Amino acid sequence: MNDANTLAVISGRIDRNALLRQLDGTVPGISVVYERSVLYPYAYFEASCTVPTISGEKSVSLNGLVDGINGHGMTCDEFSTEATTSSSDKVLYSQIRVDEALRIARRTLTHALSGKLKMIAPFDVRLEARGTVYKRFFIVRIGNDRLMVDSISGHMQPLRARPNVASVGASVRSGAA
Amino acid sequence: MSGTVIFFLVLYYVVVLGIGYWALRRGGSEDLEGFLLGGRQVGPIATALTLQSTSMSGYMFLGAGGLGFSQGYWALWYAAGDIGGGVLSMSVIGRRMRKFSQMMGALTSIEYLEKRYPSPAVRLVSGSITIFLLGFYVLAQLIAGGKGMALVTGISYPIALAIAVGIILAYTFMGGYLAVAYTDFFQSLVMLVGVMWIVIAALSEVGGLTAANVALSELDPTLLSVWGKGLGFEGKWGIVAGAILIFSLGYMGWPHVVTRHMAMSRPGTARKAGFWATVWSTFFVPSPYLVGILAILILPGLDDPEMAIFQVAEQLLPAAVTGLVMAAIMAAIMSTADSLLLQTGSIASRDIYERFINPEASERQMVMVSRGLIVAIAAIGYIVALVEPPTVFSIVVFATSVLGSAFVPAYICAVWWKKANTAGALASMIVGATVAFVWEYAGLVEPTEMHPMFAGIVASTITMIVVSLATQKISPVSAHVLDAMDVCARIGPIPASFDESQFSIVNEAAAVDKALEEERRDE
Repeated sequence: MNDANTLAVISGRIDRNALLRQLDGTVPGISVVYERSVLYPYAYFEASCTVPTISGEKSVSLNGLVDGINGHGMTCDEFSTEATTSSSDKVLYSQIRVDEALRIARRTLTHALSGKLKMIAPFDVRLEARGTVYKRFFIVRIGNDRLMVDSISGHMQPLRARPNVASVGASVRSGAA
Repeated sequence: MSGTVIFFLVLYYVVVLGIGYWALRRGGSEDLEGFLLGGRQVGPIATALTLQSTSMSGYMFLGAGGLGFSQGYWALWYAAGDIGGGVLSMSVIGRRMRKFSQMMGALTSIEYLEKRYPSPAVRLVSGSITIFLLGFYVLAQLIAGGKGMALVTGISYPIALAIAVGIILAYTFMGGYLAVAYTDFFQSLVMLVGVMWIVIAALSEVGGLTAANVALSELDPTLLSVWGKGLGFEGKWGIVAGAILIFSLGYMGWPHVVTRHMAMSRPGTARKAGFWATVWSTFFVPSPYLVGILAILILPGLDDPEMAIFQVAEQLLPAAVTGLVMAAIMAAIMSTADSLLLQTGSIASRDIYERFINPEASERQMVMVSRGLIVAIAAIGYIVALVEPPTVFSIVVFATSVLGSAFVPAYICAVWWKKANTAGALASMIVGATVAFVWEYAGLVEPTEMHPMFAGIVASTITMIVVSLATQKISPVSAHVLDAMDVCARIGPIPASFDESQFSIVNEAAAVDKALEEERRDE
């Protein structure tokens, strides 16, 4: 755990209670229980590059994230962060080196530019590392299954790990969090 | 070609360029950034039309019409496979491939194969086969562009070909119309309306479909047969099967198509886009074949069957419409060539050069490699297209046969069969490509009455199964890959209403799963 450290967590858009209310009742006869939240690490980069267009060259600013565990790169919209010192969240720490993340980010952004603009050109991508940011995921239990919910997009994914009976005892019932 | 046609052709390009310019001026950098970011996607209808216009290459406007003109209704076997190809591909490998490639972090189709079947040999073999065959495919686009340009402008074929090659290269190096996002949708609409207009005009010219069939029957009754002109393919089911498979199963072997599966924003969009793509294909795909068949009556003295659609358009449509439609067709040819070259350059630089020759290559060096290869392909293509140009139909069918035979079993088994291993995939790719290639060039089609696509796909599928089963012990599928396949196959227990959003956090979920398991073990 990371009791003392302050972490930059991307501001969420999904309200936990609203999520539980929405999920509760979607599967008749099965209760929905909130278990905990997980903070997931991403290496954050700001990128700028020059793109030739029909109306001249344009400077474009992009944001790139590199998954701190799996090392997969992605582009992303702008976001704000909140400083969090949480003891109840489970924190996953980045396992990717900064230079490796930088290489992945550059490759991902160049690939995205080339594919979207359908052109082969040196886009002169300039990257600035902005440290590690964390995204919060909610873990809820639906019957005997676990569901992970993105606190920003609301995207969901079933987890394979079965609920731990002991930890469920400390969880919160739907609507009572 | 009249001055009016050329005027409207130029006008079309000015309008298209104007749309791009206006959109970029209006939206500026912010709009461009929005386009480049993943979060803001176009809707399913626009997605479908854009994809279809890009994938409908010079084959549709030259090869399909030429086949209809040469063989009559037999040509519709090819159309039947083509109509269903997109949906089949989306249904069989679409969802799972999208999810698996995301989990594995694969950016290109070759990288995807190597992640699933871990071995440098897989990347080397698949990359080499792809570059070689996409080169053929580009050649078809160059010939189509050259022929179209010659007809539209009235200049000689060699000069028209040089201009077409030059434009295609510029298109690739400078990025389509430099505003490709804003023009593809418009082009696809013009293309669809234009081709439908040619069909209606041709039907009107011959007095309707029934009258056309009567006239064709009087000319040569075998033109109405499903066995081809002179019943040349009577009872040859191996060839008919190949004709259907070529653009149905074969579609799944095109790297530039499977890459789109990997780039889909979400399965929900894909499903809706698949529906609209099918609607579009149902109207569009049979049309060039039908125009070719009707051209037998309209242009009985036509020298080059592959010019049937261009010639029918020129003869029957008002000059202004001819100009617009031909411009849209030329744009579609350029757009497809551009996509193919981009894919070839990307595979050459990332999957071959960076992976095997210079792992520390800078982006600038990789761009140089990509551009060098593209210029080489264009130069070789120009010489071949000039000296002894094959038909667009024969090139596209050959390239699709070999690509499909090499890759379809590997792509399908990658997400559907857990016992498919590296040895099986490698052997399948080599055997499939070799059989399809040899079948074509050793003249085995006639004596065996079997299409190269059919022979190749059967050979590669059997090879995949036999070799994979025989080498399970010496080449086992890694636990990491099996886990990923399990996750890809899993849909529940999410309620159906949440189904379409589940694919975006699959990597994070896998890592959280692992962390929770470790935590439970520690407790």
